[in-house]
Amino acid sequence: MGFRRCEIIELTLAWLQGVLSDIVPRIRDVLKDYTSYLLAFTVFLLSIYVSGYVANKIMRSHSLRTSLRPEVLYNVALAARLFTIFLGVVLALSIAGVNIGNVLLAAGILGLVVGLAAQQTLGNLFAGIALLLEGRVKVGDTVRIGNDLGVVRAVGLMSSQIRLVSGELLTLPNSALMNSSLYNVSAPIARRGEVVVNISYDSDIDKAVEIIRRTLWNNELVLVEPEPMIIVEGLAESGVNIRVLYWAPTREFFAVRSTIVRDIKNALESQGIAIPYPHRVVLLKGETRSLLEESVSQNPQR
Amino acid sequence: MQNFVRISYESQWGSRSLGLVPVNLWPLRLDVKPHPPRGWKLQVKRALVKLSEPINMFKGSFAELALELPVDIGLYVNGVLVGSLPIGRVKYAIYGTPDLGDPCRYVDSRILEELPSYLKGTVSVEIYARFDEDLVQISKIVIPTLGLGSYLTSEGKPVFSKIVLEVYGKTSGIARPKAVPSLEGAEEVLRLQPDTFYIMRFGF
Repeated sequence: MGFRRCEIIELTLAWLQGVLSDIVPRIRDVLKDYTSYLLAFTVFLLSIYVSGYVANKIMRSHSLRTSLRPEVLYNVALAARLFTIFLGVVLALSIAGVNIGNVLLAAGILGLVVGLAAQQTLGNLFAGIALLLEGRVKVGDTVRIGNDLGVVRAVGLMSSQIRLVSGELLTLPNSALMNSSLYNVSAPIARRGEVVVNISYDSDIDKAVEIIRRTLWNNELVLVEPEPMIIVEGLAESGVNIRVLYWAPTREFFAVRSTIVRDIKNALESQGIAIPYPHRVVLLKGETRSLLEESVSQNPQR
Repeated sequence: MQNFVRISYESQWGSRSLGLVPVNLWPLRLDVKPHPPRGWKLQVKRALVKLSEPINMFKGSFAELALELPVDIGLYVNGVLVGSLPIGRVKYAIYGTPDLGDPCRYVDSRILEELPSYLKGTVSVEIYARFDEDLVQISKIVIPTLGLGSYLTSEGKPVFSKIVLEVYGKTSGIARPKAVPSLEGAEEVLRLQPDTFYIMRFGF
């Protein structure tokens, strides 16, 4: 045995020292990288948490003294959330050692490409922002767009939703909403209603007008000012047309309309004013007439 | 388990529930007192009184007129006002344009004629002409009923607070209730918001 025990130990220690001196810096480097990655990931997670907290705070401020409408508040909260996450991502990338300048440059170029490719989407976005700032419609407003009537359910950044009176949910891109003729029927306090009443030629027109006037007066929700108007409009195919124009509170408009139509019909009928069916006088000539007369003379019951 | 009683009332215009009251408030004391006109299907804060004939106000002049308003019945549970109900015919009007105006309880001679005297409250209106024009005709007055106090005379006649109307021109003026009864000696039964006023900006 050429080696003594102490020499073996010394050699082993020397070898270990050599190995450790080689490995430790490597482990330290690796750990350093992983720590920065871990830190970057933590920052990212933290930004998500903070964004949720900020958005929550903004949404809850609705119940405090802010005068912002709920849909504006919702979109502000969404924007704040996205912005906080964006800041978190930028911070996390810089901690991880990624060159932010290059990333932003790439993002700029990408933005240009996306902007060109997604003009319509961006159009909707800006239309949404304009809608929110302008306040053309609010959640809960009753609106009419073309033939669609409904209540605004949501005003988003890209699209808006309207619950139609038929129960369907209409989703409209904001640019379409901006470009269309939009009637906000819930903005005014009162709305004008219109009913056309047709009375027979035998009926007394003045009496009918008086009955209609009394019916309007008896309805609580028909406004006295602006004053209702009753116009004897024209001589129609089967009777005289009377146009009734009245104002009612917007909230009660449809209920009032329904009541008015029913009450006018009942009042006219109870006073002996006939609401005629369409009449048509048919003149028969020649052979057809003689055949018909013969048939009638043979069977008068028909 | 807590039990409740429902308080509701009926009139010729329909019925309405005032909600549930817990029975642990028992014994319940239910009072009725005169209340300024609010409405039935719409609860409004103002009354538009249409004068039977317009009043000509000249520059710097002063006029005092006695009007009548319908009296609603205020319902009190243990001394707390829980609702009011109208007895006579209820009509509404928009003072101003339909998009910018304000809904009001409408009052004119046709409505007042249908009411018994104990359901008509007297309102004294002092009109001050504070304008530079020669003449302003007044055919309607908007009274902020939210600020009207209710009073009862010794004979039991309802009376409301006095109103001061300052006219600044053909289209503008301010109507302001004063914390005094329209008839002297009447006893206060209801005090509403004392600093209420209404700016008439759509003319008279």
